[in-house]
Amino acid sequence: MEIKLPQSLDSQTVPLFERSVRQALKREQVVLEGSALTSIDSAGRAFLMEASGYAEKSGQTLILQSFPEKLKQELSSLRRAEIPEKENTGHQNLPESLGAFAFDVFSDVKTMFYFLSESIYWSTFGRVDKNRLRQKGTALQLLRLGSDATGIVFILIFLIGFTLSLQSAMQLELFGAGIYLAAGVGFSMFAEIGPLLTAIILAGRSGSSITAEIASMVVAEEVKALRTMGINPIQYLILPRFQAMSIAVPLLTFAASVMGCFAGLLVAFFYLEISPVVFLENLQKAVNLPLILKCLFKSLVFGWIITLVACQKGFTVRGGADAVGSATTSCVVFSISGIILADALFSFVFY
Amino acid sequence: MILSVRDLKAGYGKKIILESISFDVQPEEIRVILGGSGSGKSTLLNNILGLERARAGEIKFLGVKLRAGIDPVPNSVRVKTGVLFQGGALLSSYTVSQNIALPLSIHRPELPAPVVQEMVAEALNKVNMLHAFHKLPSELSGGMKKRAALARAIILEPQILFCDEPSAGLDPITARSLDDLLLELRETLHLSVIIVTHELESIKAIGDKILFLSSGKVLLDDTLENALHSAVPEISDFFKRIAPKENDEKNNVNFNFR
Repeated sequence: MEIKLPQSLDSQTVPLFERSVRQALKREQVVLEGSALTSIDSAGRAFLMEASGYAEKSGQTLILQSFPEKLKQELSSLRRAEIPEKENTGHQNLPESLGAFAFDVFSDVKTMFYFLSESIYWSTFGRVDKNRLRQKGTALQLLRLGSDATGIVFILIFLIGFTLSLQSAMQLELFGAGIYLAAGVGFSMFAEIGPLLTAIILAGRSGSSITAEIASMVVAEEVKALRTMGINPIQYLILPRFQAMSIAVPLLTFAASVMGCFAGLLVAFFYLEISPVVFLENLQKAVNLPLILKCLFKSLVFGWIITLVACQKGFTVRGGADAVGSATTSCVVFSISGIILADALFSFVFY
Repeated sequence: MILSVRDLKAGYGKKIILESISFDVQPEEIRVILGGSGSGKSTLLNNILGLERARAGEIKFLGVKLRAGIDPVPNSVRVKTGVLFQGGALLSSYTVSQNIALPLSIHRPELPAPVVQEMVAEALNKVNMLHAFHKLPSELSGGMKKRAALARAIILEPQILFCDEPSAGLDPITARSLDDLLLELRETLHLSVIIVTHELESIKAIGDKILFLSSGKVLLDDTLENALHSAVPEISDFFKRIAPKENDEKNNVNFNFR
């Protein structure tokens, strides 16, 4: 089969006969007649190389006939770039994939417990070992992770407290039981909504920021650099954040629960016409010291979950900028799941 | 001897990257680690530095004997070791001077702030980067970042400096000036340098001895001169590959012209 090539073999003209040349090369010799050719661009060169390789594979001959001398020289200097075989690193079947997933989860949990034990040790007994403890920056982290989150936590809890109180008030009023609004709002705020929502908001805000920061440092080899300088990354990066979150989350949770109750007070006053004094008296009966302590303990554990998941996701990141994004997403998903799971366990234990 | 590595074995998961690597580094020697991609050069550095857990072997590091993968590199060794990473690895939230002062604040906390500042200025001056004292790493070019990282690596006056592809991504002039700087630091600080690089000009300019890795094994441990004239095909091919490109016949496409 003979095909006459146009004046220019380029990205415009190659598609016109690429398919027919391939088809022909399956069964016979192909002659590309190039007496009219004056120029060949990168697409044209790639086409000729590809066709030549295809001819070799199919045992046929590709002949370039009457090509100008200049183009002959140009084509003679071409080198074929060999595309390497793609490595198959994925898991082949379901049991293998499940096993790998279980192993990953186990490994993640192990890392988190290691971080937890190190953080607790260096926050308590390890503080005596001044020669080995190299830590600073807790105050800065307290400001970044806790104080800076106050606004968003207060606004959201206030709005949720307001909505919840209003809907409860409407139902309670039907039964003439509006007076119980304070107890209902107070208990739900301190027992459930305050700790849970504060933790969820902080997981999205502070947890993701911890992961993004640490993961970026890992990707840029900054963590390796710290280690080569004899700086323990756990003391330098995790410990300040762990301590800051251990203080910030309970404090914010308490303040947020109070804010939620304040929203209830406003609803009671404006909608149910219950005086603030009566509301506070009823609130005091429902919100006792054990409830507040349970609330603080829960929020402390939630804070640890957020920090440990965030640090684990940050430290185990592999790859480039896209891996930082995935690690951040994964941190938010896993910390919120962990918080909800822990909350369910607390409900069994406490109530 | 500054560094002695014996029968080092390392890998990731089931994959063995390094098998029985042994070599020594003498005081004030510049040792170049060479090898193709995936030959285990960076893995070797990471394992010597204790950044990855080796499978087996023994490392005698500045007189301290360590069982590779078991004994952590002690701080007494870390403070005498400088590392220059490929991208510099300066902490992005710190200024250049804060980055350089970091090892001092951790290992010499007793030093008063004005002394630290003076030491940082001196280190920056050595690498001609004093003008970047107050700048953030994001405000520096690639070459400047590496110079600043070099200042951080030498601030504790180490005895051995590890460099992972210091010329990567630099223009030839900046790369040559970095080579000159390494030679100068070797003279003034009496440093031993272990360097991973692919730049033939750098290798010729600064290398004393070559450690050539291939498929996780030492193919050659010899002087630069002997390495450049090696008859081992893999080594001579490697030097040809990293030399400025000339036409070769490999992978020629054979067209049938008529």
